Amino acid sequence: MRILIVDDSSMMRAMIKRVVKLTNVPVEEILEAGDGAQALTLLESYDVQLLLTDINMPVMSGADLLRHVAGDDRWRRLTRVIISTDGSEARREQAAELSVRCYLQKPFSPEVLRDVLTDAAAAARL
Amino acid sequence: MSSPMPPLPPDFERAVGGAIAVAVSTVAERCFFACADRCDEPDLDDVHAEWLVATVHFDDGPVRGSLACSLPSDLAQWLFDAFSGRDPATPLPPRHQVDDLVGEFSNMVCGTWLTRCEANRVFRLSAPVVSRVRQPDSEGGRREWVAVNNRPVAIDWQLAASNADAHAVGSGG
Repeated sequence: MRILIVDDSSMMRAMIKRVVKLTNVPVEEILEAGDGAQALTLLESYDVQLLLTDINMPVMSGADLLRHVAGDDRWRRLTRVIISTDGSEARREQAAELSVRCYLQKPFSPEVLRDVLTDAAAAARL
Repeated sequence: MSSPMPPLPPDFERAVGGAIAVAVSTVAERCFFACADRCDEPDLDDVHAEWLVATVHFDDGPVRGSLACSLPSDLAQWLFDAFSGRDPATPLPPRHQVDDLVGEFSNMVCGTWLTRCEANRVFRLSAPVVSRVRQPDSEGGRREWVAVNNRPVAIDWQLAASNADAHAVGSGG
């Protein structure tokens, strides 16, 4: 499975990557992007099964990235997870409309992230 | 900030201060395995360290403003190690990585605070801006002190809101 982590904080990307490696999820490759536009470029070039994205980012937000993904049939099987400080009900409702499988609010413990990753990875393999 | 900032009622200001302290505590415990409690203003001359200041601006919804977390550099390094799993015996990380971490800390505190206060509104946070100073300057805003692992953290915040919205925000803390 190929995973794409999208967050403008390199430290947060590194932390998520570390937790991914601690799970039993079989990972072929982990890609990283600092904003939604970089993520779209990577999605165009690689066959990605699991997308983990922040919301508040420069250049292109995670919400805009997810709108692009939802509007393109090439990515209909892509499993999408939001990892964001914004845990508002309004944002969660928006996410549900964009076929997001899971919404994880920062701050989170590594154990919670591990459980979300395991669930999302299982969905991505179906 | 385009709208004028009305004076905040004292009760509201106390409620916001309490909500910020809860947000710091939540972030410190969940992501950094650290303890945090509200504390009195320390004697800054006793803090023999450079300070890192991470400022996040927010808008949308009824509340607009900014929140800045100021941390002594030794606490920033400790938080970095806790978050990244770095062995303290290994060489120190590059400065920009510690700055990134402090920015993320401030981002999470601000996001947690706003979500607790306004769960039904979508908000937008700016990318954190991190600077290094000799002592944190509150620049006329409001300040809350929180001790994280017994080290002082200053949280400076500014709000622009209508009076009705200001009361609504205060009730969420």
